[in-house]
Amino acid sequence: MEDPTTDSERLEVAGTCMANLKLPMFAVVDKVDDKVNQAYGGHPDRLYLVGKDGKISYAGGKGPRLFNPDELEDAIKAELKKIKKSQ
Amino acid sequence: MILKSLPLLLTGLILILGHPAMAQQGAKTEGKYQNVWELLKDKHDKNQDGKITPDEYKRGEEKFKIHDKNKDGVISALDYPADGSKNRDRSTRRGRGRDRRGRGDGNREDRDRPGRKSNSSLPQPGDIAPDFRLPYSHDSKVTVKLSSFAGKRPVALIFGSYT
Repeated sequence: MEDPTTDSERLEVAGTCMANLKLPMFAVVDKVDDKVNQAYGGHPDRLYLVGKDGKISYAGGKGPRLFNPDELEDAIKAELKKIKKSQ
Repeated sequence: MILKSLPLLLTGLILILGHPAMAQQGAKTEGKYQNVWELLKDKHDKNQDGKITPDEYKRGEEKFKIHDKNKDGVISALDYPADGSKNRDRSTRRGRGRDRRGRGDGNREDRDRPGRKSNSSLPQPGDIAPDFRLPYSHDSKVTVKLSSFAGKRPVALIFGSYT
């Protein structure tokens, strides 16, 4: 598959990706200028948790080696605990 | 995947990225190809004469023009020289718009390796998450703004590439 070169091509690839992976959440698609990717260092894989306060709560390492869903899971649990406590 | 049962208290957003263009290349090369030309030749040069004509190239005129960097009407090794030298035809303004866009643009030296920020310049815990507004993959007419969740619920960001 050749790289998409336009936003709409990217959207098409993303649609295929989501259809194939059948993940239970939404996907958003970065524009071809890769601005969000660059801001977060997302390539090729990376995990973050943004807390309820809009601040970064967890910043994962660069994938694939440091891509760690378990760390994200722990961060999510901690964040939810924190939210519960403050209610 | 561990995030199968996301509680309603959390939103997960997957960000689908393209594979960033490698310097000098506008297309991804698999491991077995030395460069982009070899990949294209393998896929499209039906009569194996070292040139891919618009007839042979089946992916549309727009993409053909992206690959035909020297604008000689065919895609060939001249468009993707093995030594990495540039071979752009600058006598016309055709393709200029695409030149600055990045992807498909062979002239990436000044923007080499996009996305390679050092770790320290990436968002760290405690930083305000860089905001963005991007369209959904399932309905591109609807966009979501990250900061709209602030004060409401946390958001897990899952960056991934699909190729």
